[in-house]
Amino acid sequence: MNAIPATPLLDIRDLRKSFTSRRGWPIARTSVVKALDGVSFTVGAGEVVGVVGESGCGKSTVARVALRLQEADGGSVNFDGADVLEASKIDMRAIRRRMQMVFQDPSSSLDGRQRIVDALGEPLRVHGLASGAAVRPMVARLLDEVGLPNSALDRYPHEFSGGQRQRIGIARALALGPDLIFADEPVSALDVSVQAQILKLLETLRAERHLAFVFISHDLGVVRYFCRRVVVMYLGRVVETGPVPEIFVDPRHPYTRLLKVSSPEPDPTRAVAMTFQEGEPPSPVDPPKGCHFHPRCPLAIDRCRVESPVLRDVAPGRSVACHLAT
Amino acid sequence: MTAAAPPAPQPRRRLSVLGKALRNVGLVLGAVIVVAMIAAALGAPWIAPYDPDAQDVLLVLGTPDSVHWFGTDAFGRDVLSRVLWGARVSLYVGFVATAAGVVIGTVIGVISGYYGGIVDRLVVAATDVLLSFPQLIMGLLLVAVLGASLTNLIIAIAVTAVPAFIRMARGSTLAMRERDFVDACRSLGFSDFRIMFVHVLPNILDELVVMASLWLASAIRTESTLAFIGLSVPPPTATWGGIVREGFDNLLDGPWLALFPSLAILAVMIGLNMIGDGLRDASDPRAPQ
Amino acid sequence: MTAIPAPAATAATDGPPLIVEHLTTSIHVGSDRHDVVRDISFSIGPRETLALVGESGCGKSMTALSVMGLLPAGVASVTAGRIVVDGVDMTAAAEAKRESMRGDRIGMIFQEPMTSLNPVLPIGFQVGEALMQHHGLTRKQARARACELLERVRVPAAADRLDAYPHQFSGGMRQRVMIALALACRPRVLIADEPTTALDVTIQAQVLALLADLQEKEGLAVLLITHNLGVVASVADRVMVMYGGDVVESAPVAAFFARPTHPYSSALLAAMPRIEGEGGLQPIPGQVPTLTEMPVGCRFQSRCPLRIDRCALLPPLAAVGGDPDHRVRCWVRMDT
Repeated sequence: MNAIPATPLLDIRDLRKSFTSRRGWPIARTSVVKALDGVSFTVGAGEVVGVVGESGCGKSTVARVALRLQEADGGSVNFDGADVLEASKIDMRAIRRRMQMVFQDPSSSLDGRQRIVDALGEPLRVHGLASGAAVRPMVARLLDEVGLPNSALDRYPHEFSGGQRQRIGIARALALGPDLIFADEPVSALDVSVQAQILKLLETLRAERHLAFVFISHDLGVVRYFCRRVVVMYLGRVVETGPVPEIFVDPRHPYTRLLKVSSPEPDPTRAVAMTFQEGEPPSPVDPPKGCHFHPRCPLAIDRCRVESPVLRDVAPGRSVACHLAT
Repeated sequence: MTAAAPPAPQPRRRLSVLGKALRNVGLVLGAVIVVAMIAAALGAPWIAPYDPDAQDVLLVLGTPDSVHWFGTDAFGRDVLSRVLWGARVSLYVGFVATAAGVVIGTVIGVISGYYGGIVDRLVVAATDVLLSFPQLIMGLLLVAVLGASLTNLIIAIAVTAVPAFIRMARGSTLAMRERDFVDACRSLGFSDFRIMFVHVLPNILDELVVMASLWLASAIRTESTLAFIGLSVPPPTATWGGIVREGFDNLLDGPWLALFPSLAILAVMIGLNMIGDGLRDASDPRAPQ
Repeated sequence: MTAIPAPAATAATDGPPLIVEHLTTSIHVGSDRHDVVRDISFSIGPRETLALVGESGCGKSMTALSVMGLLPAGVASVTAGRIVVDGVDMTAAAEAKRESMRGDRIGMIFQEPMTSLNPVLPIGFQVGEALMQHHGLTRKQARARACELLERVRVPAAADRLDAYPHQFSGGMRQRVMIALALACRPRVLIADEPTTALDVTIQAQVLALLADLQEKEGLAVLLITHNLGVVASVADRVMVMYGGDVVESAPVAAFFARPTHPYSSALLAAMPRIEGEGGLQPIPGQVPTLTEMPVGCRFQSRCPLRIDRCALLPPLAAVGGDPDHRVRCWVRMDT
């Protein structure tokens, strides 16, 4: 957290968000899920930060709250000097031009009834960046930038393959000329060969446009290629942050270590560590006291069961939330 | 630009809704019936062989023959002419009331589903209450309170349609919200109004059209029923329900009086239902072609 | 694979539990016929895991459905070849016979356990159901056996959870329940279609460990369908890579990862992201052709860097490197 230049582009501090749900019959019980329980991290201009963790850890909620698609319960999000969470509707429009999102499933994030030229032209028109005859060539340029031919302009989303649709989703996020893109599992739904194509594209765009990314993924392998720094989340909290590849070569938090040894590598000599340790991620409705990870942790001591560890620096640019980490 | 050669988009054939619709025999047949009825109603002034209100005491309760195809009623009026003119009122009331119900219900439903929260809960509660009244009772109550006139009739029938369309539009909007594209629109800085009516609405239109065609049938039936019990446009203006009513008084002497307008109602009913079912099949991408 | 197994009565003890010979599966679009699986042959012995690998549309799931006899009727069908499960020729058997084999001699687990389990029936009943149907157990016996099975797949507090419903389980637990269900009648063959794709990696590791353990104890022949070469490296004994319905490479796992030989296999491996080690993430240009656009001959030729004129003819699956177990369908790479 400290090795970042003085004024980061995006500064997320102590972000909190809970969801309540009422379930049960005949008497409904209200349960509270703390999706974000004091999450902090920063992203520098042109920097790519990976947010990794398993389902339910809150990694997607970070993006949705930072973009005000959902309202936070507490904490702050500072984008290039602007307080995002307190911004007015008008200010928010300006902020959204500079902060964009790419979704996991492009077939669900595109309006199936809009031709590509309309889907990509609409943000340009709405924000007054182009109108009339100027829209089409601008959209064509965007398509060219993501590697799609001009013939795509007048087609509908369903006429494209998954990888091509994701290119369209990326082009739409680029339309307003953002400085930061939240990418929520952008390649998870794609085949391996196409996944590599899209990641190469993102890397090219990052370099050419000096874009910053918050890259949300469950796949450590993908994160390793694209991200310079990684934030590991577990049940709504950040458990470790550090630069790539150090964080994967030498993970300090036991959870990061578990993630690493569980990720299958295409190499029989590095087979998955298949253990019977029966730890399932505990329900986020009722997380364990102390360190959330302690029931699954092979190193847990009594202190872990009562006192939740704070994120502290253990090496330059590396912090870990574990009582035992060095 | 990328290492990968730009992959060419693959054209994939998808039968258009219109294409599928035309292959649907029931839909085409239903459309033919309904269009014929509408044409007959619009053309009544030219097609109708006689003045629908002209009475002829010499021709009271005349049986159908080559001069009066549908016979004459107790005042000696030509039944064919009255059915044709009656179609104007009945279809007009049906179309206008349904259109009003669809527009109002859809707007409320989309807004309610899109924003959610306390307003949504109130809207849901209100629709639940309104929907618990049978459509006919509701219409009856309203006409009784407002008084029988063409406008009030339309209002009464529209009011019964509104909650049904609120519920439908709200449900579809909720389903749309689950998809990422609403969030994508928001993150692009689009206004709520634009998202609701430029993006969500066109995506739920298919379902609304299907339901509107079925509701149209229902509205025409409600009008006929209200007319039958004397709560429609006052006589002597001909409406289908009213002609059936008059025919009913002379059922034994002239059964054709009630029969022909009833057949007209039945034909429109069947036609509209065929259209509704056909549209549903045509707009369902999973349905076999 | 030379001798055709003897009739069912004696076959259960000898021969591989699953033999597939020259299987071709086609889908029918109007009067057109497109082969989505072309002439695939393999056999799987007890305690052996064969992985079918490839990207979407390569035919791996169609192969699994063909073996199970669960191809969508009227859309796809087996058009050639033989499938022998535990000595019974499934392709020749009557539907009633095939039905009695499914769930009894051959079990299957799917990618998404939530949609494969019935949401309104309790877990204990669903696990025991196959035993009532195939082995005539009473409801009470089936329930007791269901409890044993859930313990066997390491569902904690199994006895208390017999009456729970699928939505009350986490994704990993549901997949365990699916495994219990598939193994209830102690089949000899298990088909696992992307069994861990929907799971988080730490849970995936647990489920793979469980499968490997049960396979060892039960002597199962496992056909693993996956797109994940990492999973293959971890649990499979042999691997067959499919592309466009053809097997392009078939090899023991160690040989495959040491010497991936078909241009598609090496490209696929080079495209895989790796947490450690060098290389990876090299995109394969272009995309899989659609069914109607499949090239004649080798189907990978449109994306292949080694393409020669001869690729317009379909190469045979031929030995490579003098190893009869390592075979490749490529004119350039096969032994000459």
